Amino acid sequence: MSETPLLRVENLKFKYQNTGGKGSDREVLHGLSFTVERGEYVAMLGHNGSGKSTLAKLCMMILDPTEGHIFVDGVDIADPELTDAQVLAVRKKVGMVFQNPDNQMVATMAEEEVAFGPENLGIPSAEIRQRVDEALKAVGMSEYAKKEPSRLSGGQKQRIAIAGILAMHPDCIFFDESTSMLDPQGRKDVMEIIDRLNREDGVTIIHITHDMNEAARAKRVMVLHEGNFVMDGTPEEVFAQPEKLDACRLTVPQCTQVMYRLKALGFEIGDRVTTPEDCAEAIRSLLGSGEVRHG
Amino acid sequence: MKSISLGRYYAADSVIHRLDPRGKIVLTILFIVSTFLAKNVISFALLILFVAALSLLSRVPLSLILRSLRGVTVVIIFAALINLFLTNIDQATFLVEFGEWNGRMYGITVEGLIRSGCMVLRIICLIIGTTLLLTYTMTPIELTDGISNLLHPLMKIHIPVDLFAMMMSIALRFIPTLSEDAERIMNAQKSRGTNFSDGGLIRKARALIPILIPLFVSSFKRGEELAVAMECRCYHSGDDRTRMEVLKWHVRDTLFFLLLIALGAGIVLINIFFAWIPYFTVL
Ligand SMILES: Nc1ncnc2c1ncn2[C@@H]1O[C@H](COP(=O)(O)OP(=O)(O)O)[C@@H](O)[C@H]1O
Ligand SMILES: [Mg+2]
Repeated sequence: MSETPLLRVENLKFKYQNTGGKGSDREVLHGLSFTVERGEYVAMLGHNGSGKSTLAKLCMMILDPTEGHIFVDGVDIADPELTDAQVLAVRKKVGMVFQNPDNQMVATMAEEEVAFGPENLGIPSAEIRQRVDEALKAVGMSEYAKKEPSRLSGGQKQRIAIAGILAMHPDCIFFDESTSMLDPQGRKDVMEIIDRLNREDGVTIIHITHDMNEAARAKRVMVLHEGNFVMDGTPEEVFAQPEKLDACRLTVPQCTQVMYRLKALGFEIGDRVTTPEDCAEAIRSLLGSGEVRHG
Repeated sequence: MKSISLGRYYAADSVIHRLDPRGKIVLTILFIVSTFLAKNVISFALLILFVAALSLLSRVPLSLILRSLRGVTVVIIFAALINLFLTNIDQATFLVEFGEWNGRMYGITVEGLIRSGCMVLRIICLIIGTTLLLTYTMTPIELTDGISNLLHPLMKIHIPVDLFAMMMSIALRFIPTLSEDAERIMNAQKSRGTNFSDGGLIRKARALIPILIPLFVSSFKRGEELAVAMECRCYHSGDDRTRMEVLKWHVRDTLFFLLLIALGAGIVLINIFFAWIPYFTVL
């Protein structure tokens, strides 16, 4: 393989250092190894406390690995000799959008918020202006440029947060349960932006989520359980094994289960079957087309 | 959702609003000095003229301007009374005599009246001028930006001005979030039966504890997450940060600056050349 992968993790172990007295020093990640190529769209599943956020923080250099290596675009970020400039270069390449939009905003005006990242990178004023306008446009928030973020809805805040990362022109974005605090409309808007960023702009996406329907939109699904990756494959492959997901304390919605099982049996089913209504419709059309031969 | 308006910014598009925040901060200091230099009826007239012009130019409604005085009514009345009765001038012209005490005559004098009037005018001008310049026409963020810009040279002697500015703007940013938190916690505690309105001062203060503790916990949690998010967005202290909006100094800023210098100089000159007009040193 000639191209260096965007993210390569080798035998990554992590232990939170004695922070809270008893019960600490527990290993959270037990030797993860995986590779994410440029332009991939990965969904990372795992129940609460399985170590997803920890992994993301390790990749953002917020935490240092206890053992193992993380290569971002070929640079070993576990190297303690890394200079400040190299650290900034890594963080510029990899952005992260968090769960709570309120806790990641620094500015009192939407466009100032978006400008924060580029300002930290020391980009000239005129170029920051241009990047901010582009980023706000990309998330459909141009008319809110002068608004106070505290007056926006959750979904709008999260779109501003995404714009703040986009303005730094990252190669890869981690979304750490970024939709989980949003209302249905907010989720829909944010998911559409995530899909589009990957499809049209080729941004590598690593979407940490609890929502199977959201995970199903990715091209690859990885399941983290108790600090190990237990499943890694296309959504079809992963969702066709509900018992295994169950063991990881993840419940696949019934309609998704049915659809993926049918798919695994070789039936033609569209990609975006997520609601029970869609599911019923798909089965009806299958029956109608006479494709069903088994009793 | 209630919104707390900090500093009562009055949104309008006026010359005063558009002045450079750095300039406005320095102007305010010059203005305060000028009000204290004024010691003479003519210089007070000049001061009043300036404040009136400022008010007109700022397009802030008169009612709002007068409202800024409400907080200092007690101070004004107190200053007026002190100057009225305790003026110690040898040859005072008494209008009303209250009586002698410790070998001194007390009462209302012409000098006392004039001096008290000047003091009241001085305080009124001071308050109106500074609130107009610093709060009604300047957002807290502009104020922070202006101060940090002015203090920027201190970075050379390793005073972390940029960090203070960042702390200040984050504090401003979190005021609405934390006040929402407080409201939510208060409602939660109320629904559990905490009584916030009855009882004496101590009981009321005690009732605040179940609000303050969760509020502290939640703000620490927010703070921790914010720190991580800022680090992920490459935040670091140092001189290599740039800004999207760079403050620009315009001709109008220079003009206002000259105007204030002229005001200060005028007041000093009037003090010197019109010294024969009753000259009042106040407090
Ligand atoms: N700051 C911390 N100190 C100690 N333990 C932590 C800390 N943060 C998380 N953990 C523990 O690490 C484990 C993984 O947490 P996390 O990565 O946040 O999981 P997830 O994001 O998958 O829900 C959990 O058991 C959690 O209790
Ligand atoms: Mg998490």
